[in-house]
Amino acid sequence: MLPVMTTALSGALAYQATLDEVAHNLANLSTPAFRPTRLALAEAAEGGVIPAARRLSARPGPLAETGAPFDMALPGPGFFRVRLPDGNYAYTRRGDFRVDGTGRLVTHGGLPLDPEIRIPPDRRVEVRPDGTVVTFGPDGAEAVLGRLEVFTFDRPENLVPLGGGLFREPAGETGLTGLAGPAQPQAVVTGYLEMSAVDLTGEFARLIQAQRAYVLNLNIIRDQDRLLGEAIELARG
Amino acid sequence: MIRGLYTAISQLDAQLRRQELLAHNLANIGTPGFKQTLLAQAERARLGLWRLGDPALILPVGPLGTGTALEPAAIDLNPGPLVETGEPLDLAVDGPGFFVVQRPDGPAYTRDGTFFVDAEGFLTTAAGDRVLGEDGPIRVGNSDFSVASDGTIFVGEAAVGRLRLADLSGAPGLIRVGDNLLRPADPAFQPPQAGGEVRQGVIEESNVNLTETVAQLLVAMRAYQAAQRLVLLADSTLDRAIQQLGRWD
Repeated sequence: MLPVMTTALSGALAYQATLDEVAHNLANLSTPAFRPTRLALAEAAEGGVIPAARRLSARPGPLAETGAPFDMALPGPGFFRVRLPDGNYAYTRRGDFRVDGTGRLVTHGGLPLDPEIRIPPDRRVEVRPDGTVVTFGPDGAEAVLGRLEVFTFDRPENLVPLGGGLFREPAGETGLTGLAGPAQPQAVVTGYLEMSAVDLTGEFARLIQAQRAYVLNLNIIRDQDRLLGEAIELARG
Repeated sequence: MIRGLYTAISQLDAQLRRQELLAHNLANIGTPGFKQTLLAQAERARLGLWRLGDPALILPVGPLGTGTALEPAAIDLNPGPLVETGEPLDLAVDGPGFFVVQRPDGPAYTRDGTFFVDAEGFLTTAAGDRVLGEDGPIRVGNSDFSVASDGTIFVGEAAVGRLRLADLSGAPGLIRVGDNLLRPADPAFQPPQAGGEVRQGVIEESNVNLTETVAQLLVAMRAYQAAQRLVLLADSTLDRAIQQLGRWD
């Protein structure tokens, strides 16, 4: 009876992990630029099932108009680069930027963009489609403040999520270095945000399936326990 | 009476094994491309009883049952439902073919098309085994790829390989390797090329039938309980034989 219990336990654990993942995906239904992940389950040779690997969705979310001057979306597959407090780089597609107290353009979490862009106070600022940020003086003279660089990855689905829509390059894997692309005429769309790529219907279907499978495996454990208890009772005579 | 004990125990063994296999099917109800184990049980060979003694009077007494056993498990190769995911790295075969992957100890076969791309640009399974094309492992490199229905993989306009699809239906027996892989029990068996349409952005779900499997599991548990009672019954009969019949005052 015990192999049945360990098999059912492996099932309960695998579907628990799936439920956790689906819950995380659903919780980020309205997080800009969020990409859902999917846990791949694999049959275990010794019986049961194990979570084998996790894959980030390769599908971008839809773009939605917000009209905010520092909301930016990337129509291509690239990423913005930010600098973490520890000096390392992280990458994000989430473009709801704001200007912090020191005038830097930062993410919603307050991380400065890299290369850094400083916005002078009380000036009209415009972000061009190629990513160039320009400002206008009182006399209408145009001054370039910098360019939003878009970094592309060979295999974005292998990036390691850090939370908060940030990703880092996986350690020790070649071909996964962020490369600053050449200036492109349509790199950035201003006044738009990339919405969450979570597919509500699909995630709900997975939720129901995983929940049913979880309960089912737990019931097997409970029934086996009962059977074992009865066997012990019978043997007592 | 002792014989009855062994008959009941043969049923305990069979039903326990049955529960293990059914629990394995149910644990893999959410595993893409999983192929369920089919169970069949059969009576063990009956023995003939003959009356011996006077050579002229050797007469048959009748048959004697010796219990039951599970037959070697077969793997159900019927396809699971195909589900649209829209993910470019999800592939499924609409038809009988299996994907072929490279393991250190030779090729193995799977219907699970949840693929990844490794650091060197090769298409792999979730466990990291490379997927084989007709000319060896398929390297999609660092770009997006598309898959034609005949299994040819295109990166841009260039074909980088064609997925090998194997037909396992003729294999005399299949064994489970783990990681959603199957392999013919006879290593000399070379699966022929299989037909089938490869679809991108689609995944094949497990072919476990939930309702049927749960019902079978309940039956197996009850049969196990019944066999337990039979053991007890045989035991108490033996007890009576020893304690009561064997006593003289």
